[in-house]
Amino acid sequence: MKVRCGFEWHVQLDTSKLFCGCDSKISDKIDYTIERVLRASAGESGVKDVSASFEEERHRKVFYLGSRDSSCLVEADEEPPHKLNEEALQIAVNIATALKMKIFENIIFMRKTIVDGSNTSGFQRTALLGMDGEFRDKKKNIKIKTLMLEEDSARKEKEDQNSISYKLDRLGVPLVEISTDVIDTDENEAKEIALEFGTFTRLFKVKRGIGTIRQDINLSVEGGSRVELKGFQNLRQMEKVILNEGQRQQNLLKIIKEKGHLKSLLNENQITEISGLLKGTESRIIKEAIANKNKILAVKLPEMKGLLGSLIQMNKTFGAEISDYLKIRNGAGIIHSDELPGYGISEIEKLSIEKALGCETGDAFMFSIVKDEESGKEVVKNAICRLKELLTEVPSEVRVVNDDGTNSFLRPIGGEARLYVETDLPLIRINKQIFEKAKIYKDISIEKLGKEYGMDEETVNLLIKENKLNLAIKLREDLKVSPKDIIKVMINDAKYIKNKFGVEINDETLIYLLKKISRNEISRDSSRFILEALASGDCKTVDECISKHKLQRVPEGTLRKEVKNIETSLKTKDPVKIITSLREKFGFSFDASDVVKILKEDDTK
Amino acid sequence: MKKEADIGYTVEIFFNGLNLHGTIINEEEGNIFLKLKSGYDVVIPKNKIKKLKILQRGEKKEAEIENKIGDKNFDIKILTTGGTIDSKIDYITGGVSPGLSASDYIKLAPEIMNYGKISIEKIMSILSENIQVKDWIKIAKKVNEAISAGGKGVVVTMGTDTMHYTASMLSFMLNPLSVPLIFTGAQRSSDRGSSDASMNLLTSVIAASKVSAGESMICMHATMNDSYNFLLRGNRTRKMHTERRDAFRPINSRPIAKVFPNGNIEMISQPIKPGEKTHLDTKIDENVKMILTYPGFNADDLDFYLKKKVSGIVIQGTGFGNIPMGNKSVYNSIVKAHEKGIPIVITSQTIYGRTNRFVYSTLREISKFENIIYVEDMLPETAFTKLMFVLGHTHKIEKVKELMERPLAGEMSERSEIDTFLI
Repeated sequence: MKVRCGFEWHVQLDTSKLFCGCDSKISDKIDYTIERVLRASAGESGVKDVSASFEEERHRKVFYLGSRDSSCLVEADEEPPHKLNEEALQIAVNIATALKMKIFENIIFMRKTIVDGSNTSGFQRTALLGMDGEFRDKKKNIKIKTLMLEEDSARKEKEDQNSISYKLDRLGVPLVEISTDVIDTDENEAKEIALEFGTFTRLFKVKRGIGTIRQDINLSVEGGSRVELKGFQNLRQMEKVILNEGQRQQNLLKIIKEKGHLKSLLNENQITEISGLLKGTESRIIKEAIANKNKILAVKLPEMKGLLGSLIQMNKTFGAEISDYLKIRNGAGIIHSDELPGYGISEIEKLSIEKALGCETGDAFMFSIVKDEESGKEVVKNAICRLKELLTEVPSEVRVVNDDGTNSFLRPIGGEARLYVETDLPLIRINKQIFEKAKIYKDISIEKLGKEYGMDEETVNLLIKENKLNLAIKLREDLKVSPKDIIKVMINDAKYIKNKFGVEINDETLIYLLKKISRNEISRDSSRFILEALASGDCKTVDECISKHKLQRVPEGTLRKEVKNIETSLKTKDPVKIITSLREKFGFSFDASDVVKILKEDDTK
Repeated sequence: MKKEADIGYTVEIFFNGLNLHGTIINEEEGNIFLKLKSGYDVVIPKNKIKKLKILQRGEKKEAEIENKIGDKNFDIKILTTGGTIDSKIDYITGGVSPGLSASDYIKLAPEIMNYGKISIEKIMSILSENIQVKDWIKIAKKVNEAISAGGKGVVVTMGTDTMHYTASMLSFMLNPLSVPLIFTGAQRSSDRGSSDASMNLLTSVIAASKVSAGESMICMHATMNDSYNFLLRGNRTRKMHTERRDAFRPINSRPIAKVFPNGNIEMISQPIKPGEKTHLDTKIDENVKMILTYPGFNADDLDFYLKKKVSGIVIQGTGFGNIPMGNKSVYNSIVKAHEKGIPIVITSQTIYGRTNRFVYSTLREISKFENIIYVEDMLPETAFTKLMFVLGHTHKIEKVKELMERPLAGEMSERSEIDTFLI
């Protein structure tokens, strides 16, 4: 199916939180709960944001569940943000550089009004970092419009009509939001693009696993409207999700064309209370409603028989477009004549409602079970309003993707009133070093790193995770140090020493050691021994250790000779035995791998 | 940049290979701050602009602020004085300044209308760290006016930094009080969805309409939750945190009540009974200073003020209200103050607890001077405002001492109840 589609990718960065020192670890530990009421405030130009005031109309309590490890007063909205996390900024600049974006030297954090409660403050902090870039898919050049550095929102835990709870662990985790331009594409290609992008993000220090990349899709078909599809993480569903929304818009357009004129016949003021007609009903819903003294308000839908029952999205009917909306807006639902007889309501009862409403052949009706007549009229009016809207155009709105790949109404699309300056933070100047460090990302790809620097994907990922990719590339270029050695010394050995001695060996020493190894002055196997000697205080410098423990590399010829000698004297070709014997004589001044190589060469001879 | 492009203009800027459309919101240090259509602000160094095209000239809009709204025959008067609760963000430039109009306060918490006829009056627009003695007098007079006009309760909104000083000063200036006087404010500005302003204003109005009390009180969040506020005695309360919404804590006392946003009130301790008629007395001597002792403290601080001919000094000593006497110069200064008849009121920087002059001999030495006045468990800030008030009426040292040492408005207590620490 031909669709126009724009992606909004949200990628979590693998650092501590953006504006406080908390770990960005997802945890199920709960140490405290905070109860809040959020109100929509007048946004920019004094106008309340459409989506914000819409949420506020729902007046719900919000509970925040926090743990001591992953949230502090900043997440609780009891303290202003601390200074910006430089590492997160660096990663964002790296990504923007790789996407060939134009990056601003100064950035301003904004408050984006969000009143669904997912941010304790009532807004999300977000800054525009770069614009106008491109992402090269296998087939297409995709224009990237913007890259934002922002805070992730809190994780929703539970929700009902009166309250909603969120976990604070995810709130404040650094995120980049990358928006593409509109792409004329189809469902299969769209999926490929998203997959490619996922691979691309692996070049950076970003989080991995479910929920760490989330995407929203802006989708429209010809003649339709921009609909923002939110919250699906399962890429496998992509084609299905796109097809469903495409079909929904096409079906709505068809209905508008054929039946759009009927909206002028609707009268939201002719509402009839019908619970009296249903007193003897077998329907459990109605019985309960009558027992609870609820009201049942019905309205005629002239010439609309068959309309609300028609399918517009897999198993979802046109009627569901109205009930999804009402559910969120008023916590109510509708039942319509195309569904009857049903819900235990009989044909005869249906006829009596039709009679009471003055329905003629071809007319339909809908009704809603409500608490009282006054608030109930509002509900029915909202239902009619929604129906009129659907008969006019495809509503531009935010919709949430369901597990089965269909989608449901979530809220109207927020207007421009959503952003204003975060006054608790100064203007942030990105310093030259950050741009300098980002340079290596200019033309980066996994293939290129493999070809030019001999790094396989696993090596690249490990170096990125440990923040050593920059250093590795530099050492490779300047000193021809192999990436494998860098991982051994800078990551594995350094970690081993830290665990064993609680000592952190500085980068300078590690680089010096790597230099010696790459110049063949010492063996790879000696690195851990040397570091242990330094950490334990046995030696003060690398050089002292080399001379004290005679670690100068054994010349290859000597090693060969010695291997031969041992083979003869021990009458064995077992590498383990030979190496053990060599270690007794030479200590760590040779590499076991060289011995294995020598033995193999002999074999092939 | 061309000179004619100014703040408020809609422009198109070519810079760094980008073509940006937006409104100029500020110019600073060689940068233009541009608000893009998306709502994001970006910073553009002027010297890097390739081309600038003016699309639309701006208009300067001056919003009118109405200062007074409400019923002539009001039940509750809300007097607004500024502070975070009053702060309005300029959504264009991002600056925060005091500036809510009277009707904005109703928008903060429309439910206040359920608790009687409301009248709102903006009497000043000031950040509380800048408050002056003359402002206290103005607020006291306005409160008195509102009560004379038939108000059954008065709520004063203000900045939180020095709210407890004001509440404390007014407990002396309006004594007795015939209606509840309640101070409130906000720790998070009103522009944000999470602001505590709404609930603070609402619960203050609820308390003003429902609690039978004749005293100056503070009503702010009791916890980090939006569940209930504490109603606290104004001269026994202190801002104990820079930022949290539950920053205001009762010191050496218990809260008066819990006030819930649904209108419920849970009384905890007995408030002062309303007087028959409110008495306004704004005579004060503002020539009072406050100093803190610390390791290495010598006579310099004291001598400095004595030379300036101050009327009185409040010292926040350590522990029991101890003052370092190892250095003879401090003793000499105190003798000097004694000779000049300048009262020195001793409080403790521990905040909690009661001062004591007999436990350590150092204090016994000076406590024989009658200008050395110990004020039991009174807060330093309260001692400071009270001393101003007392000196406004007398400079006779024995009279000053007598008035300082006994409660005038519930500001000190004879007993130290066990559950009054770290509430």
